[in-house]
Amino acid sequence: MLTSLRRIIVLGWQNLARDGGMAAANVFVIMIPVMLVAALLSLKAAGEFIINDLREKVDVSVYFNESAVEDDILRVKDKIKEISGIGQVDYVSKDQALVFFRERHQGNETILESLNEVNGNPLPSSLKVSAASPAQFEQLAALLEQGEYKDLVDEMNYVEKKDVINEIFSFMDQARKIGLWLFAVLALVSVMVTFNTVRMAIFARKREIGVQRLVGASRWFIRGQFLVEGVIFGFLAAVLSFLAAAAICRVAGPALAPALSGMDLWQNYSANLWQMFWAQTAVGVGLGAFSSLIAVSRHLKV
Amino acid sequence: MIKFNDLTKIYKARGAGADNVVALEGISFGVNPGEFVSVVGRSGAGKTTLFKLMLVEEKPTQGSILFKDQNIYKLKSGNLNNLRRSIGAVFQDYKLLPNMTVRDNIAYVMKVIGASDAEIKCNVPRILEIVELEDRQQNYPAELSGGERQRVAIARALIHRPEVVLADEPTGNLDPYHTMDILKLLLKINEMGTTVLLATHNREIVNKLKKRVVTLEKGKVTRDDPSGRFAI
Repeated sequence: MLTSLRRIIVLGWQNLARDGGMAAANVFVIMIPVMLVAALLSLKAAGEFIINDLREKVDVSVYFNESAVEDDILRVKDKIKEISGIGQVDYVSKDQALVFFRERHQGNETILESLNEVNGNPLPSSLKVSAASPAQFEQLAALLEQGEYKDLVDEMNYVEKKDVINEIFSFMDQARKIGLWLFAVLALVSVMVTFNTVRMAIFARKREIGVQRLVGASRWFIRGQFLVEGVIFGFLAAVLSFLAAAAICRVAGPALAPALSGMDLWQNYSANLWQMFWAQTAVGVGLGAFSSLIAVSRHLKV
Repeated sequence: MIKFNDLTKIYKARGAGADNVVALEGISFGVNPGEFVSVVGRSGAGKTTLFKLMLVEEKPTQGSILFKDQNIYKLKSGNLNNLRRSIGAVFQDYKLLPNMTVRDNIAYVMKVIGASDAEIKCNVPRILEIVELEDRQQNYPAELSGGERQRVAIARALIHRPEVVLADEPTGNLDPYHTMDILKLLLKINEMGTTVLLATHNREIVNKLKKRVVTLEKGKVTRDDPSGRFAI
């Protein structure tokens, strides 16, 4: 049994080594879907980063009455944080609001002068709230309608922003779905191309497989050799893809960062190095082995 | 040992208007253990088809072949492998593995039957010496002449000392010198108890052998002569 296993492995390796051109073609073809996996993982991370960034930017402000003191507002903040799916809740005091206002309107003398004409600080304290979906904002609005909080809250700008928020969330949802479909189609096409190339390569050896059967080789003895070849092809493709993807992320990462809300692809790749390596290895080896096994089975009926 | 029972093989025509080809029709004869049988006939008589059916490379349209009283077409995969391992086949088109050297082609059969490395190391040089290919053992089939390929095929068929040797035109590409050597080799292994079925259209060879001759004509057995005369 062990002798047979050793022979299968040695024969598989020898077959691969004897036809370097064919081996290289197989490795490069398997590299395509493996690199797609690397791209998918990187773009998934980038997509999540962008969506989270966008989500952080989609916020509503809850403005408080003059009568509301800081303790009241912080109590409301804690209550809001209890809503599942609520993101960042930031307290903006009257003083901070004034600083932000001045910064925002720096250079606009008319506005700044009118601010000086008003005695004191006319800006209210507020809470800036971000959430995972519009549903949380609905819950927030419902919470603030309760008697306990109603007297503290002057207004919430959710109603004005509601349509825009819904549109943004809907866009993000659509973008995620389209991205997934696009990758599913690309993955399917590349898997089919790989499978066909391996099938053609094995078809060229149909006669050889037939001869092996006629001299008494068992189906598994032959299948095993092709399985070994497929696994080696897949592993080599995974290693090459891993290195190529790393190089692409390293070179293009900083340049793409502005388009990806500041996310550096290389930082993400290097932070998940092992996950990237094993994911590509699993896909490469799996695809190499599976396509070899399926393709060789057709010729084992002799 | 081997019984051909009413064996018929018809190849269905694929082209429109083409007729089916009857390769074998109602073949029935037996071969005893240790016997040497020459199957003779013109090209297209059905010799190669008979050997293909014997190796279960193809299945008959009708009839059966019994090997040691077992219908070979009802064998399960594992037993079919064992049947093929007990047959040493010399194919008319050699059927050598193109990506393996001469040495590896011959050793492959030993590996398939599970022979030890020591056995392979001992037997391969011996058979290479017999077929006079010691200096060609690292060459690939494409680098050999027709005669040399033929001798590799013969070496591969004999290396594991099979119970039966099926030799389809084994001397077809050999010069007279090597032809005689191969015939002597086949006779020698037959004397050692191996059953030999030799397909040939070479009258001279058959008459020299003086062994049983089964004559095929247009897929039918027309003569079964124990005296060893080639008569078409």
